[in-house]
Amino acid sequence: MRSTGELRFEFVQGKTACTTAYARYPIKFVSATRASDGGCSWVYTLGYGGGAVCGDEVTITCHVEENSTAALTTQGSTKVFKRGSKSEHATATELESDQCHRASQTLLSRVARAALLVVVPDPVTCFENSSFKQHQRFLLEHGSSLVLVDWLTSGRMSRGEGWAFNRLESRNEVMVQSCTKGKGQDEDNSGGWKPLVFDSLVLEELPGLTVRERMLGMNVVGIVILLGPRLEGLVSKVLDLETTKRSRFPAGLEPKGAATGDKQTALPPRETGRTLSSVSPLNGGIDDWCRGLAYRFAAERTDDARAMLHDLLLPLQQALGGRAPYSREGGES
Amino acid sequence: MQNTATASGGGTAFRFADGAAKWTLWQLCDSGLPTGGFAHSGGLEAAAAQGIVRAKHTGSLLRFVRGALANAASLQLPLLREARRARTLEAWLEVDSVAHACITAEAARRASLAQGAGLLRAAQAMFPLGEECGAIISEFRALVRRGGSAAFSEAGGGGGDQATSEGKSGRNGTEKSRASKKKAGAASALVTARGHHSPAFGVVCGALGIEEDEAARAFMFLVARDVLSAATRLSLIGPLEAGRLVSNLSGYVETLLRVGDVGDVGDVGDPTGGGSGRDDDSTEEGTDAPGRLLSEEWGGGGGVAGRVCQVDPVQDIVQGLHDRLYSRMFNS
Repeated sequence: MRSTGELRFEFVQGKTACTTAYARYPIKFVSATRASDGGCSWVYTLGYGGGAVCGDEVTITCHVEENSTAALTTQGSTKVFKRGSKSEHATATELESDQCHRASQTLLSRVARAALLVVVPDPVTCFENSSFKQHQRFLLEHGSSLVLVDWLTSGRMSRGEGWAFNRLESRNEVMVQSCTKGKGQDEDNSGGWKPLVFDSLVLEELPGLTVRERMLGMNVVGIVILLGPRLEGLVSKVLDLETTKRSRFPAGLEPKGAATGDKQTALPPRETGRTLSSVSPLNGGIDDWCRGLAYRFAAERTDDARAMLHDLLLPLQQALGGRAPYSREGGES
Repeated sequence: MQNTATASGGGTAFRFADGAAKWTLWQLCDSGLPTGGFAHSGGLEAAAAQGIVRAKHTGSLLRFVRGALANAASLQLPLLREARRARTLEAWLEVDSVAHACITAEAARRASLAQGAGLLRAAQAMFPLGEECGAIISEFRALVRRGGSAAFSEAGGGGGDQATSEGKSGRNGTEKSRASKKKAGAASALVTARGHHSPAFGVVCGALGIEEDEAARAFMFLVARDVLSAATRLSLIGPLEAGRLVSNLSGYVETLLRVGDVGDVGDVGDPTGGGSGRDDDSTEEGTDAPGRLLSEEWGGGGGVAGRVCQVDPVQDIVQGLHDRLYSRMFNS
């Protein structure tokens, strides 16, 4: 099933408004006005049936205009199901084509000057034998900011499924303008888009190396990308913390309760609650205007990863209209 | 098979007889080549500190090396191959900037930049690169040294046209660069020269007439060699065992080379289909799978960026922990 969605956020009378929210089956957008004090527009992307069936193909375009603040999230994880062989939706030609063997989701966003786009979905969960491709492209105009969280879990853990899907591909591409034309007057942004972060992950069985083997007992992996002037405070806070960790704690000795005392014997897989994370600074754009970081993480348990994300992004609460991403209160987000 | 004839197709002349190309290839893979490869463990030191790889436990080490090789094959080889085919400074800079965007983990980035710089330096000092390739490499190195960018006219659609390069020295040079841009009249972009290892390796192999597949294989050898040599120095295994593993990994590497680019998004469910995308990237037009090629409005698509990917994310995180190590023997 092909579908398209269109979102546009504009800054009107001191508040961000979602001025376009158009979607076709099988997705829809729900704008959560009550969830925020108006400083930020929160939009939920909902899929009918709670996920994607292989063969689904969703493309969403999103424009975040000057000065506005928009948050995109989901209500519960995006589940990717294997398609039954006799699906109603499939036409004969569809079944023959390649598209039928996977679900795909594309998000194309453009963020304008002084605007902030926050993409904080629940994790993607690919069920046994399913295939999923996600492609997210973020075009950052000079002076814009982005929070991107992309994470996935190993499947239906309660059923003992672990990394049992066929193939998962997730491409996150952040590009910045590198136009050298009159910076002052901002001529129609005609400059080329240059890569700043291309973070692409493909998980499928490789000869001599299953996905499960690669994951070392972890059930969740993900990345958080923070970029742009509106995140300066958070970025330097996280980088400072990392510097402290580097000078004070040898790797493997994270100052967390569960990890104390089991340094060298920390073999995978181990008791519950193991997490790994690493931070890398980023910068780019003309004169390096676009600074930020990439935070990569892995966890044995989804709850631990969610808590990590919550703690990491908590300082954004105010900017996001009084709501913190991945908080337990105020519904699942 | 290549011969001594000058290749007419590309501009990179095969300046060597087959034997001479082999000779230089051995030199490129020789541990004596001063590129500083031995200063890097490819994340092994961090993995050992985490207890993920254990001394005398070949299984855990083998899993690690395989992960490193698989990641190199999916992430570095597409860049290397693209750069091997590059004929202009502009094309190389393009690949280099993709490499910089793809290799974001701090330790990995540092290792790639250091080895790239070392390789280019060594190549320029040691090998007869030919006038054309030598000039490109020396211009590129000059750009990297100045920490500067080259500005290109994009009027021609970014083809293989003659590029007008304009170095800028630091941030103060921006205005000057901008002024020259205005003269050109067309919209243009700054591409910063970084000098990542895999594209540099591809370019050097191109200049020396080393075939693409040979170059890819050599690069994989370097990855295996550097990790396993680090393993002996970390006392995880003895030198004989390390040598045995390097030897045994040949079959695994051949399989990876045969599988080709796993990141080719057009062929879902067919891991072997990806390799076919190698030669057609320059001619790709919007006929492909949806989402793969984006319009210029959305930043464009296709090219090598669409084929590069990670396949072992946990290893990447572990390598990122390197800088947290209390005491370090290696640089990454």
